[in-house]
Amino acid sequence: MIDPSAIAVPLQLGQRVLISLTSISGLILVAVGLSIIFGLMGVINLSHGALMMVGAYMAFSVQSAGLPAWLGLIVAPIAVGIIGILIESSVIKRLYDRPLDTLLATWGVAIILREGVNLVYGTDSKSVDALIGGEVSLVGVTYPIYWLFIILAAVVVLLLAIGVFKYTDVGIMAIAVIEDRRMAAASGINTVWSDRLTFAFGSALAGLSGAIMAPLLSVNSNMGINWLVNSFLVVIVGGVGSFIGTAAGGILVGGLDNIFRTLTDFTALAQAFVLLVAFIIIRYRPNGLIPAEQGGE
Amino acid sequence: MARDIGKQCSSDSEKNTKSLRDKFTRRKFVQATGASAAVSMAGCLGNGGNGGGSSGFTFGALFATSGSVEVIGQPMMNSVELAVNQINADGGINGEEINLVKRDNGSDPATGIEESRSLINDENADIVFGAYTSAMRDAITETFVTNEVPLWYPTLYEGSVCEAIGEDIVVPRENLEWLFFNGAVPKQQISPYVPWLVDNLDVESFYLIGNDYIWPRTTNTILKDFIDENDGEVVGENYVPLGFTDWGSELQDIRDADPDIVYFTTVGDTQVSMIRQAAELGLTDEMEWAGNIMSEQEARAAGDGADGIYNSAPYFINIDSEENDQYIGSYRDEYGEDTTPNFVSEAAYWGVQMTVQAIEEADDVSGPTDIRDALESDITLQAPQGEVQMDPGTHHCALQSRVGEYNADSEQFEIREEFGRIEPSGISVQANCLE
Repeated sequence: MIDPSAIAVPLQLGQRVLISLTSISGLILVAVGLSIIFGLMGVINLSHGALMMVGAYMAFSVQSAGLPAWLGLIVAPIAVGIIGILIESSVIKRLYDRPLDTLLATWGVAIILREGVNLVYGTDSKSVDALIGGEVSLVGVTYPIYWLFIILAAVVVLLLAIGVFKYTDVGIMAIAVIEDRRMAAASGINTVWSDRLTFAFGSALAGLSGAIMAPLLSVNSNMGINWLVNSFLVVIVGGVGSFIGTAAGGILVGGLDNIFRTLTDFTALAQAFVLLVAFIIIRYRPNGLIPAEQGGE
Repeated sequence: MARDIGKQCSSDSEKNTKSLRDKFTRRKFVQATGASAAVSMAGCLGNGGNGGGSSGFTFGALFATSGSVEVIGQPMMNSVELAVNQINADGGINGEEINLVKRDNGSDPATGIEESRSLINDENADIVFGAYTSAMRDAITETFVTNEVPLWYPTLYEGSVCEAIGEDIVVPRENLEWLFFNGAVPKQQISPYVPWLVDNLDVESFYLIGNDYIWPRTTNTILKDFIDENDGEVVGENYVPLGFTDWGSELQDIRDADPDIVYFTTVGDTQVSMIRQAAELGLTDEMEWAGNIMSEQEARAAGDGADGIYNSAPYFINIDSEENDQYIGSYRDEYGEDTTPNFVSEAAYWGVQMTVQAIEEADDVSGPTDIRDALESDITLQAPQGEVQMDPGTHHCALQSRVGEYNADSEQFEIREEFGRIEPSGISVQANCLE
């Protein structure tokens, strides 16, 4: 005879594993765009959170116009990608040899985006519905379908980014430009458009992540700031310039965070522990867990 | 106001110098100090010249219209402006128009301090309505106390006035003299609410979840006493950092603890994301959810998940009263149909009205000290929430207390219970502290 109380623990564990996976996936999903713009291009992009926020507002616009919710997942990356092109061609292109200045410039861009959104949408927080409602039962654990979708989306976006830079001509050319701009130009690559498209791709992924995460969050102009901080943490701990590193960073930061939070009844303290571990990792592995193999030299 | 002009001027230019030194580079520092010293001198001279208040009263409004709490700050700023405009249209104070000076504190305490000094020294404000977070209020309090200008704080907060709850004094007697409060303290929301929840929702076990700062912690300390008294029990308690939005693990903790009711003191985006994610995980159906800091704005942002959540507050926007119709109607005419006042902006609105009524009822009021003295009476007012009254012994107000249940379809809290007017003193506000 099966004692129901005996299987309660594994069921709770299953639920917690799924919750942790969704949490980790959210971190990775939002960080991949930054992994391109900061990790590959070296632009210290403090507008990443604001780009994610604009993506969330795109999802809201689509829903409030009465259009099908999935359209938000197409409109958000396109709209934010176009914003990325505008940012690159007006501000970033002048700063490739002054990486530290990108920090201030992109913070300015973030302020413009935040206040722009306030002007257009007002300051009240918005509500965005999940694309898919309902729950599924997996090995006895009921779980929201949308939270599984977030896990899937993170995997797809990560594979997409790896695929683009490893297997497509545009992506390989972009890497060539980043590695050696003059050599790439001499080989006939249009470096201006290569930079522009790379930045736009990173922005588009930030926008997409905003649209995907919006149903779990309060959508307002300040929503991106937390995600900006977490994304830098994930990219730096994971290893700058490597997508696998970003995944590892997300798993480590999100995993430890959820484990500590489960073990203590005091979330604020648990999150401080995660930062402590991050400090220790950076102290002993300054290039992160899985740094880019090719390096900068 | 005139009596300490000399002292104020010297101490203020010292303070300005210090804060500027922290903020600017050396060259800018030299320029700015010169300028600000000149400005605060001019302020003092102007003050002496005005003397008898021939140009009427100056009210300051110091709320966040940018930064992290601008969502709340904007309706508060609007409401002070609305009240002043209405009073001026109606003949002002004893026939003289009120001069309103609005300043943005940027959700940043350092900016709040600078703007407070500017309101007092440059604009000669006679009273300032300002601040939303406890951090902002604590940062700017000293400026008002040392300059002897009243600060009106229209936000619900923890209390801890004088020695009301032991050693943890948030508002000591010497500060209280220059501060006025018309938001709810925990007693006004919790004392009738907990027994009501226990009786009407048939709940016994509570899970307390809050943000990690003073208001949720003090509220929960008081809450636990009331839960005990009403034969309830606390089965779990957790605090998350401000800005926290990834709720999965905490919600699983709540599910494992299996309470009858979750009492939340989370605020802003943290609260909205908590409700959204709890709804997705099915927790809002499995147990009751109640709190006392959810306004219509958060509830709307939380969407369908907020349906059926209980909130205790002095004010909801759909209260049926002539004063409220007038407030909501004129607010929307002025600031747009899609804007939403809330329980803190309502308090900001009638705080101005109560001040004006106090000035008019007292004789020969001029300057900040006279306003403070005028407000120290048991002045009664019909606010949008209903009848309210100043308690001169604590500078807090007796407020209405209600329970609302959110309806996601109508996007309003339906009022489930009216407890009537509740005095502020007792529990976290020491009665007759100023006497």
